Amino acid sequence: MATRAQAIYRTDVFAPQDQLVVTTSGSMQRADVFASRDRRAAVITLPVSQRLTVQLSVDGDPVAFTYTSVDNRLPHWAGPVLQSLSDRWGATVGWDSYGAQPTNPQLVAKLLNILSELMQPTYLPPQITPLADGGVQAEWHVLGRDLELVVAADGHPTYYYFDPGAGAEEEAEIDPNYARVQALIGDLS
Amino acid sequence: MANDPRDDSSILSEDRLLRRVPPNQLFTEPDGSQRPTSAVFRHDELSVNIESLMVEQHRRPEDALTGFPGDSLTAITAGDVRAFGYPIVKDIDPPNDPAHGLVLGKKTSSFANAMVRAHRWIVAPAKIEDLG
Repeated sequence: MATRAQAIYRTDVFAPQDQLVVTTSGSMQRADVFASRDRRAAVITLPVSQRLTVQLSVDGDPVAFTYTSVDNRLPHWAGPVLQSLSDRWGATVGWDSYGAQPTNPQLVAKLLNILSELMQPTYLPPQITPLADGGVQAEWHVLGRDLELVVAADGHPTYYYFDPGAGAEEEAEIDPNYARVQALIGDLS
Repeated sequence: MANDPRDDSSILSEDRLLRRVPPNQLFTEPDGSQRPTSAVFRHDELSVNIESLMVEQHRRPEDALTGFPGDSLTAITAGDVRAFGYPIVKDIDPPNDPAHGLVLGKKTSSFANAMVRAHRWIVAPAKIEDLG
């Protein structure tokens, strides 16, 4: 189940390798933590953010992403998701036989960052499917219920949920609905 | 029924619209069978082969796979599409396939997933027999 009611802030942790990511790089910072009567400098240690490079093989060619974290490890879901990406990447123009655009690493990074915000350790990793416009979608299909997170080339990322048993169907942008989407992933996991 | 004036009413609602499905847009069910993902039906201009035109041209539906041996072939009906208000047009001018058609309009996820639920395989992908 979801443990976080709402994302407080979001920081991109995935990026295509040729794109800088916003990160906290300093390991030590001086800060005044005492009142002036007993003033002295204190040194506090902040965790060091490290940047990992993850390389996918797409039709024999490398596609690299960076991942920034403090513990130097990818999250549990990243392995299956990156494998799904590698297996299913749309590598060439027209990969779907209808003129599809190649999968866009920027849009992939956007989806990975959304997943970074939403995924919890007990959640099932989704399958990734390329879209014809260069975008990607993450999808879960469990016992007749469907959940999709769609990052297309145009517009804001959206989610879609369908539960035939409950007669429920939802389609909306992800951004104001992080808590809802996180709860849905939790329900399907 | 689509109210869009671009909709070609000569394409009957029971007409099947054929669409190739590449392997990387399939989803494998727990029993090993495979189905299209909604990504197959998200194109703003969704290319299809109109089966009635292929019949007139004495072509089998499977002819839509010629040159694409790794793909599967699925069908939805014009009525399924029109239920969501999207117009269907013929797009047969050369160099297009003489049975080519388009489903126009920016597709919603609701539409794309409804097409997944309505689709019927013409040439199904192989079942994955050796799952976990």
